[in-house]
Amino acid sequence: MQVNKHYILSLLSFLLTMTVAAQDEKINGNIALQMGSNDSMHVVTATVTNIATQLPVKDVELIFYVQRTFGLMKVAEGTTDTTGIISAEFPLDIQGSDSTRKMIFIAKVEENDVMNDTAFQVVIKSRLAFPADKPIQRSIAGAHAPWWLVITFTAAVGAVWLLFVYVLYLIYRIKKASMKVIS
Amino acid sequence: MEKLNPEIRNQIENDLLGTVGRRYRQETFWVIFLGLICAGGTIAWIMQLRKGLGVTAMRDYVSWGLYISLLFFFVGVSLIGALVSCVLRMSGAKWRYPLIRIAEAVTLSAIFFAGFMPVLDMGRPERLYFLITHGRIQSPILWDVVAIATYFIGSVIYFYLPLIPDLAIMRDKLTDAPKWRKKMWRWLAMGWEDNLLQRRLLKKAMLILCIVILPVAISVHTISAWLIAFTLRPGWNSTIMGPYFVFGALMAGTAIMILIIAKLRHGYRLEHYLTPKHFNNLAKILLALTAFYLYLNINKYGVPAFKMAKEEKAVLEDLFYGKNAFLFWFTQIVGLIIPIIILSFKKIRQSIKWVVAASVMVLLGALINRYLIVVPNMLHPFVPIQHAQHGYATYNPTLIEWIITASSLAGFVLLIILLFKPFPVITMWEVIEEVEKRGEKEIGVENIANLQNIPGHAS
Repeated sequence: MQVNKHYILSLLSFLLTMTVAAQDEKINGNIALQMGSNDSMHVVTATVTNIATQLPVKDVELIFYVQRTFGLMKVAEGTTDTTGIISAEFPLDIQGSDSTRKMIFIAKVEENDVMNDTAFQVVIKSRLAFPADKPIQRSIAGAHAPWWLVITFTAAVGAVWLLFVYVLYLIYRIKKASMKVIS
Repeated sequence: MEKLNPEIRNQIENDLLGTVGRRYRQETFWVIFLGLICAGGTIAWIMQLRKGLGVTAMRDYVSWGLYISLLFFFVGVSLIGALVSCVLRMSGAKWRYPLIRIAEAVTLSAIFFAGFMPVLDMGRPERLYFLITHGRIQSPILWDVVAIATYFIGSVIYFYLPLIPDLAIMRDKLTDAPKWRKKMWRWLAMGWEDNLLQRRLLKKAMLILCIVILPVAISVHTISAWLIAFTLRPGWNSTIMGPYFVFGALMAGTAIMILIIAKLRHGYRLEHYLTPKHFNNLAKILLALTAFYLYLNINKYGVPAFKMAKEEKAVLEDLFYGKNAFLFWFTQIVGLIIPIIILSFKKIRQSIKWVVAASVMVLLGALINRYLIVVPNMLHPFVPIQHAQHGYATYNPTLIEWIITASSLAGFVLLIILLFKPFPVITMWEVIEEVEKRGEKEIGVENIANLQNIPGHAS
């Protein structure tokens, strides 16, 4: 596997820890994330450890998300092995959250039997900025309509309304026709 | 054909003016009754505006419920104006003349409420303004708003144009009417003196509008169909939607036209003008449209049912033997097959009662069909929402929705009645002109030379 240097070097601190009130039989854990990539996929390696003992925790289900505008998009999931490690991949062509290509990547432990709910997030760089670096061309799905549609729509609606105006003008002439007779 | 005797002409005008401003006991009852339903609907709408769309059953799955179903129904019914005023004009059907104003009134009322239904469906109707300032020209919703507004304006003008000579008759004859009415008629009559130039201008205006309004009417219905056909959903993802809507609209419009002329004929004593010939001819049109609509239904439901693709299966099963099976088979059997059988017999077609009965069935079927086009398809999306709460994946309209829906239907009928309070039901000048040119038989009127005037304003 060819690992992207940039991603390996830009490895990654924990920004936030959310811990739900601990229950007696559950432990509090840490998640360490190492981000990398190959030709087509981001590669994440997560290590889950017990905060108290610093020992790896096995059989913990992790769900990986990417932050989107209106919520979290699930990109991968898996369970830690005996060394507390899990590796997962997700596509490289996920757009970043802004024009600087920043993308928030989140690993979560949710409703687990072994460990309390925990979430860690790191900021990574995506290949694609949002909005895209290139100006978006006029298209049906784009912000601006294609010219053929603008012209067709305007011409059709405009022609009908022009004829309405002409009919109103004819009504005006009906009134004028009466005035002529009177005068 | 010779000109009508001025006395007879005068008698016809007096007869038709008899309905203007006249109070019929039954009509007063209906106006109060429908007005009360509208008042109830207004209160329900205010409650919806204050508390939000949460008071309806519309959620993430079904975001278009009864309101948009009724939008499609009203848009459909509004096509009758184009059928009577344009299609029958182009086909040279002379019997259309007594029906023109009624058809235009139905169109006007239907398209007014069609424009109102999306506003009811909006949680924040004041945001309609943003559709103008931030509208996307690629969106069929924008096209629909523009098309409905255009059709409404066109229908107002088309309602008004043939009214001008009649307004002049009212201006000259109804001298004992209230002052404000006389003032209104004088202003709207545009100084009509029935001179040659005015006639030429009026006929030219009517011809232009007749040619323009037909594509506008068809575009309104097609765009309404595209609202759903452009959405990637099982049942909607079909190329048949445009013609399916247009012919469904013509069918529903013809059925409602029959019902309204039956009511007006009896209620306003217009038996000489709205004769069995009109019912028979409209019944023939209804038969042809119903048969063709059944053919379209076979294509719309039969073709995907033959393949039973995974995505379509759920919605088709829901319609064929699921929760909506009763409604679906009602629309097919009671709404289409039985009326086709009834209207196929010449003798039955000549009976007004049977034609009215068939029209009621067709109209009920058409109304339910609009609901079936919208709701079951929304309940079966290609990508279901994960872990959706129970209430989000079902749709049972709330009382508020039913009240608002009922009040919209009541308002539609009420507006038609109110449109005939200040104006005559039948286009007087055209009927007289055509009777002079072609005789009573071809226009479909009967014995109008031997009328006995009903006391009203004109007497």
